[in-house]
Amino acid sequence: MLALCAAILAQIISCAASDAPSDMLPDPANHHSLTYGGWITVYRIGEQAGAEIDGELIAVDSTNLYLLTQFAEFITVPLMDIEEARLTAYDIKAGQLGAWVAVGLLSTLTHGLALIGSAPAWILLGALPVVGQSFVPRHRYPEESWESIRQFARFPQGLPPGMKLKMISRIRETIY
Amino acid sequence: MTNSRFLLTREITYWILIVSERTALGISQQSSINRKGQALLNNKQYFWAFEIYKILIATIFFSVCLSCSSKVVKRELIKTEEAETLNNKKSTFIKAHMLDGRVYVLSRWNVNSVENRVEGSGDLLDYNREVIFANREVSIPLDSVAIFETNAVSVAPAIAALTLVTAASIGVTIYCIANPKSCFGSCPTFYFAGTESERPQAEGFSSSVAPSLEARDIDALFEARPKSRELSIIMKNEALETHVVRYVNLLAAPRGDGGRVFVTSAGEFWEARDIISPTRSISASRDCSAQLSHFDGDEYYNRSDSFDLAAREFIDIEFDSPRQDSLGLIVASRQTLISTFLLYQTLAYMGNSAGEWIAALERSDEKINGELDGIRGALGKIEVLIENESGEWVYAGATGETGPLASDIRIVELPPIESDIKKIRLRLTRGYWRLDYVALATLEKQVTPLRLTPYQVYHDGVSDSETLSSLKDSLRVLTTFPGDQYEIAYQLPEYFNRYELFLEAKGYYLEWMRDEWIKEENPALALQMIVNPGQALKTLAPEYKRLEAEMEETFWNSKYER
Repeated sequence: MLALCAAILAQIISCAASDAPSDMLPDPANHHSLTYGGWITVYRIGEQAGAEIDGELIAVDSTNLYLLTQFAEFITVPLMDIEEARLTAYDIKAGQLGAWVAVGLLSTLTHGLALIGSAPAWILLGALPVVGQSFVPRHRYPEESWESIRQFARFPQGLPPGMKLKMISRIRETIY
Repeated sequence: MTNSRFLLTREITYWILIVSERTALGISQQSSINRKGQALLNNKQYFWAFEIYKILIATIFFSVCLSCSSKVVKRELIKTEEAETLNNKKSTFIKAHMLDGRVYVLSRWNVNSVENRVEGSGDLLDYNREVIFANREVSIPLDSVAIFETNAVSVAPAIAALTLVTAASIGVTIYCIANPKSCFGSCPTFYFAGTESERPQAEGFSSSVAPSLEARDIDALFEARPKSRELSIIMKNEALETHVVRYVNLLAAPRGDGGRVFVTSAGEFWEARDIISPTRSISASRDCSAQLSHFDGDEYYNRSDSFDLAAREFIDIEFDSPRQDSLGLIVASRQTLISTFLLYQTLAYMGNSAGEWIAALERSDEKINGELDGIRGALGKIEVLIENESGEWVYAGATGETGPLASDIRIVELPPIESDIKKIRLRLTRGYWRLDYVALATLEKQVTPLRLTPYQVYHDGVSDSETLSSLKDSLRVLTTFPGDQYEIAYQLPEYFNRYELFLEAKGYYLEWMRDEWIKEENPALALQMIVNPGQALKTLAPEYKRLEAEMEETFWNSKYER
C-alpha cells in the first residue's frame, strides 16, 4: 500500500512539472543552457483546444511574440491575438524531486512503528514543498505582463536589428 | 564465508524479512520475526555493524539524491545606463546581451564607468548559442551592449525541506552515533572577524527553541578591542538546526575613563568602576580563587551529582572593599552541557510527537508553556546571597544565561553592605554552570546604549544586499541552515574606544530531529520531564554521569562545517 502511495505521489509531483520536452528546458546547473529561452505555450483567441503553439521563446517586442518550435519552425504571433501564454523558464527537476520523495517515503518501511510519524513527515515536509517548488519557474500571461515574461526569452532585448529569422536555430547537442 | 560475514548476512536477511512482514501484515512490533530481529540488535556485537550498514545505505541514497538537486533562478534585467549597479549585485553570473544577438556569460565582472566598459572573464556565444570562446578575459564597450541580465542560481527551498527529513535518516558523524545527545547544538554563534579563535564571543537567543519562544538576547562583547570605526562579526550556523534571525545589532554603551559597562539580567546598563577581584573564593570541593579572579577562559566547574542533577552547591567569596552605597557583582558564566543533554533528551522522549509539542507551543497553549519552564526552574540560575549583620544569608539577585557556548558577563545589583569584608555566597546547581570570573564593582550610573544596525553583509565573500535588507527590517527574517556563515559589518561611533559593545540579537531556532533520538521515544518520560522535573532530574542523573566526562570533547568535535 505504501509503495502504491509512493508511486502515485511521485506521479503527482511529476505532473506538477512542465509539459515541455525534457531536453528543451534550460538547465540552471548549466550556464550556457540558460542562454536559451524558456518554453512557452501560446493559446490564441478563438482557437480550439489542442491548437496551441509551443516552442522556445525567442523574443517579445511591442507588437509580436517570436518562438522557435521543437521542429525548428519559426513562428511570429501578434500579441493582440494571444489569449493566454504559459512559460516555463527552466527545469526545476520536479520529476527527480518526486522520485526522491517517493524513495524517502518507501524508506520509512524500515522505521517500524515510527513510520506512523515519519511517513506523514515525508509527505508534509517533502511532497508538498516540492509540488509548490515546481511552480516557481512558471509564468503566465495575462497574470504577468509581457515585460516580466520577456526576460526569459533568448533575446530579452528584442530581436536583434537586421537578424534574419531563418538564421535562428537551436544547437541541442552542445547543451548535453 | 567467514563466521562474521555469515552473521552479518543473517542480520541483514532478518531485517529484509522484517520489512517484508510489516508490509504484508501491517505494522506490528509483536511479530515473531521482529522479536528475533530485536534480539539481534540488543546484542552489541551486531549493533555497530547494523549502524554502519544503515549509514552506508542512507549515504548512498542521499548521494544519489544530491546529484539531482533542484535549483531556482532569480533573474533581473539591467539597462546599460544602470550598469554600475552590477558591481553590487549578488549574482552567480551575468549575461551581456549584445546588439548583434551574441551574448557574453561572465562569471567575474567589474563595470569601469570611467572608460564605459565591462571588464571580466567568461564565455562568448553566438545568436544560436554556439560557443565562440570560453573562459577568457574580456573588455566589453557598454555602447555595444543591448541589456544586462543577472542570474542568481540557488538551491530550491524545497530541497531544504527534503534535506530536513532526509537528515533524520542519515547518521551524522561517528561521534554522534556513539553519543547521540552530545551532538553539537547551538543557536547562532558569533565570532570577531579576522581572528582565529574557535570559541564564540556570543551565542544568540539560546532558549528560543520554537517560534513562540522568539526572544531578544543581549550579550556582552567584553573582549572587543576595535582598532577602527569598522567592526565585523561572523554569524554561523554550526549545528543541525534551522536558525531564524530577525535582527543582529550592536549596542554601544558610553563609558568614562577607567570604567566599563555591564548589563543586568533585566536589560539595564550600568557604568561601573573600581572593579576588584575576590580575596578568597572557596567551594565545598576546593579553592577556586585562581579560576574566578580573571576573565581568561580558565573556568571553575564541578561534576554533577550522581543521584540528582538538581543538587546545589555553594561558593563563598570575600572582597576587601570599603563601604559603598552602590555595588554590583560581576559574574561571567556559561552553562555546561547538562542543558544541551536535557533539551535533546526531552526531544528524544517526545520522538515523533515532538512536532505536536512544538505545535502546542505555537497555539499559545499556556499550560504547556508554563510546564516547559519546570526543568529550567528546577535547575535554576546562579543565586547571589549576601551575609547580613546577623550572619544570615539573604537573597540579593540571580544571574546566568542559557547556553553552553560563550561565557556571558552580567552584573547583579547588590544592596549596601556595611562591613569592609564583603561576604557573598553563590548558590548554584552542581555541574550546571561554568564560572570564569567574579568581581565587585562600584556602580556609577545607568547609561543608554546606541543601537548600531549593520551597514554591510557578506555571504561567501560576496556582498549580500538582500540579507542586509532583511536584517534591517524587523518584519522580515533571515533563515540560515547548517554551514551558513555571514559576515556582518558595523560602523562604530566616533571615539569608538569610549564605548562598551554588546550584541543584540533576536530570533529562534529549530532543532533537527536525529534518527538516533527517535529510537528513544517514550511519552511517559517526556511527560515526567514536564510535570515532575525534580524526579526527572533524579532519573536522568546516572545517564548524564555516564556521558559527562567525554561530552565536552564529543560536543566540540561535532560542529557542522561545510
